Amino acid sequence: MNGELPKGWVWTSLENCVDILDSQRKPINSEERQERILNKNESDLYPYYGATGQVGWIDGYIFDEELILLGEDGAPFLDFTKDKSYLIKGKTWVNNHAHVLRAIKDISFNSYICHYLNSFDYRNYITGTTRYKLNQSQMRKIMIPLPPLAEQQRIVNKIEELFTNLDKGIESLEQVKYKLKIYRQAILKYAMEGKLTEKWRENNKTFFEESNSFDNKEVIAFEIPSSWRLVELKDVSIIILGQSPPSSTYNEKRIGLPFYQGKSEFGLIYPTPVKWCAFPKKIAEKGDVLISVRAPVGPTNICPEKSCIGRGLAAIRGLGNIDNKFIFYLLRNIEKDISSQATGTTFEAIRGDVLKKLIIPLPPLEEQQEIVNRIEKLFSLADHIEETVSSKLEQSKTLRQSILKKAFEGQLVPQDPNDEPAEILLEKIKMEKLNKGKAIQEKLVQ
Amino acid sequence: MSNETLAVQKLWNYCNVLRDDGVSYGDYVEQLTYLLFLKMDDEQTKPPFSRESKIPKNLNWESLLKKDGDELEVHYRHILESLGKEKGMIGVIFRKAQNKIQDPAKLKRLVMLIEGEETWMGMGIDVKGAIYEGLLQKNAEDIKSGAGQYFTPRALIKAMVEVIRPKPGETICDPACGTGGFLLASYDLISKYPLNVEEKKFLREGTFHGWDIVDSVVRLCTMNLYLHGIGGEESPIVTDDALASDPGDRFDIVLTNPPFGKKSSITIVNGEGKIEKESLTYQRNDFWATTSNKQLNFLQHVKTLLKINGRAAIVVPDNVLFEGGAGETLRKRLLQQCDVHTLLRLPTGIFYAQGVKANVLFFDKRPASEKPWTEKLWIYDLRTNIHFTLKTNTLRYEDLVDFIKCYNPENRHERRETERFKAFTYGEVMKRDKTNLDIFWLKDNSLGDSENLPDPKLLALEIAEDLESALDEFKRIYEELEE
Repeated sequence: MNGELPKGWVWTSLENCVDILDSQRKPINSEERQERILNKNESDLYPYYGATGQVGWIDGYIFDEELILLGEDGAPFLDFTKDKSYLIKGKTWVNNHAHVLRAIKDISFNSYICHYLNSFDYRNYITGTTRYKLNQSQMRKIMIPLPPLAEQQRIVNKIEELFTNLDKGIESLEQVKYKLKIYRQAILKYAMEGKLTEKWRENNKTFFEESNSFDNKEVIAFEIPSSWRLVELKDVSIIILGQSPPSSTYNEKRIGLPFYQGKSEFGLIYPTPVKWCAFPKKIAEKGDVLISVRAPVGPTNICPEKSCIGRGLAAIRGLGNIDNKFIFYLLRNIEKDISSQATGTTFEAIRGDVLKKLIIPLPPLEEQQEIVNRIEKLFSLADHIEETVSSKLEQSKTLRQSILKKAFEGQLVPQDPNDEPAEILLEKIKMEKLNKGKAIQEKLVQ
Repeated sequence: MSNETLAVQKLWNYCNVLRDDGVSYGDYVEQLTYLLFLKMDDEQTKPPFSRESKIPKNLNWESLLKKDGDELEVHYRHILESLGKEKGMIGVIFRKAQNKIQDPAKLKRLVMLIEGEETWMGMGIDVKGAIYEGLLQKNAEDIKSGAGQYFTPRALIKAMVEVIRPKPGETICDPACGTGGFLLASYDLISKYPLNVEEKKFLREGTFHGWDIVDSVVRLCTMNLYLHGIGGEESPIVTDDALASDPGDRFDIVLTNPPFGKKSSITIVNGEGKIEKESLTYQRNDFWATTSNKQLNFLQHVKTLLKINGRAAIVVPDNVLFEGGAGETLRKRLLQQCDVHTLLRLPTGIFYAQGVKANVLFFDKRPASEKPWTEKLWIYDLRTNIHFTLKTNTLRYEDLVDFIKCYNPENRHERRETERFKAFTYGEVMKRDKTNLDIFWLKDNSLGDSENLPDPKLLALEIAEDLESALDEFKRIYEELEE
């Protein structure tokens, strides 16, 4: 730990830069804290801190200043993307899972040390195998690159400037992720109200064939294009309710048909089998829409191949003029409504006849296919953005660390030859210690 | 299409005349401003304006109209050269002007096109500014390099001037004046007062001061002021990097929209024609924090420019509100030493730069005091659930009327909270981490629930905006690290 440092910097150990206030900490178990804060005013309570942050409240305080806390045990020492150190301010209480440090005035700043401790590699300093611990004697030995005081301030300023940009950037990316989820829902809703194909309908006049004269169901909640119909699910599809075969027929050796029991095997679109069944009772065909009918009610998938379905599922197979994929997206859109029609006390389930009588909006086949195409195109674009955003979010964690690394190598802000070199700071430390020693000795002599 | 956009389109089409001749867009726009200026100067000598021209008769528009062929080219060159040597504003306008249109036939065609146009002077107060900036914008789009100057929506300027309420006798400055939008809007407002002769003279000659770093913009601003009869012997507009030093002058009012451009894209051509990279940090004793963040520097500069009890309205991007380091220092000091009373959160989609999230910060400078001057910061949220685009749904003055009402310019100390307008005490603001002023409280409908799903089109737009602002932040980090 003595890499090349810029001129005016110096390596020193943490104990030379901070006062260690560990002896003032006091752990209070949660029951006692609970008791102490009961019926107290919020204004009389103070934050109670632990290894990685605030863990609760208490009715008193030990400290009343800005301090550095560094995890002693239970901090994520080996995860380089996570903070091990943080600053606290005002009236506070700290338990014995965090070291309590205060930068020595004129030598360093709390924020400088705190940032450094978050970029430090603790591998050779921690003990323990499952629950890592950084004991005080090891902590004291942590080596710190110490720049001139003025430069420390510049470094901290720059780090904080960059980190606020970074946080804002990350926040925006998180927003994107969240909004993409809502975006997909909004697309489905639009599609099923006929709005996604509004223009398309103008150029493509499609109708139901005479033979398909459905009874138009009178439902107020739906507003649909005039060329569409409102129908019951059973009018346009076959609904097969699942039934669980005897458990002796299950196997994991891929004998028989894949066997799906419920939502637990569902994926984004297709389920993944974990069991097979040698003597299936109820069979779903490739392309059928699978819907979970028991706890939870509503989620859907598409059956990837001929399969056996248990009582937690139902298979829906569109009749002649119906695109299964359309039913799939349609059911996804109203998943919540379906779920709200579930009944049951121990766990929720939906009865077969409720499912059969489900009223759905139905466009002519050609438009169904157009809707499915458009949904899938828009979804795939959204998926692509989401993947990029997710991977960039991961990268931004690394960026944070690399900014710190650069900072403590002296490459983030320019050096100023007029700054008082850190060595002089260290001299000050020595003098101070000497003076303290003398003072103590004098006291002893008296 | 509005009059300006039509006019811009027309003028832009003229450009095709010259493109084959190897005249670049930038040169073309420049030539256009010279010719337009001569034409407008000519018009203002006639009723209803009947003003006196400062251009000698033998060098005016009419003198140009009579000429043809080589004679025209020679005369035009002569006009530019001679006017460049004139004193005062005319000299500023034509400083170092050169003819770039070598082909007399093409020059003639351009002159005739402009002559044939309906009266330019008849166009609204700042329409010509809009036309020019529209041309600059087209130019910037074409060369894809972003000129670093972004057109402030006129509706916003009008609203800002209205709440700041400049009065006769007050001095007004814009340290990043562009084509002078804030100055002209202020001129408009003060002109409505009943003014005596002295006040009129002061309005013309002593009220306005402006800086801009781009020479061609200063030229246009000067033209604009001249055509409004503003300015005495000397041009009130200076070509300079306003941030370079404290000019020493203090003003009653500062109104400005400093450039949002990335600093690395701005280069300065010095006197000898060498291109110099702009120095990135400014060392000024009157500044509270040293930073390379241009917007933070402009904010500090504005604070310096104000007289005690002077009033400022400055457009700032979001990062001024949340950035740590120097930004935090600056916010603390500003809240302490000035009365930072109002923050207007602007909607997205109103500036030419994509994804810009901006605000207007209003504050008054105060004398030194132990006690912090800011008591309450009032925030008006014109962003949440509001969507504008430059093309189809532009920001209008009507969109700002409610803000003006809430601001209560007649007595801003009497205000009431509304859904969009909330007050935060000094204590509340100071308690926030890094004194972050990036505050919102309204529910964002695009984060809707499944009952109230927003239009997917709107969501897609918002996602694009979020991605752009993320992009902006990461670019910023990149640039900071590159230094």
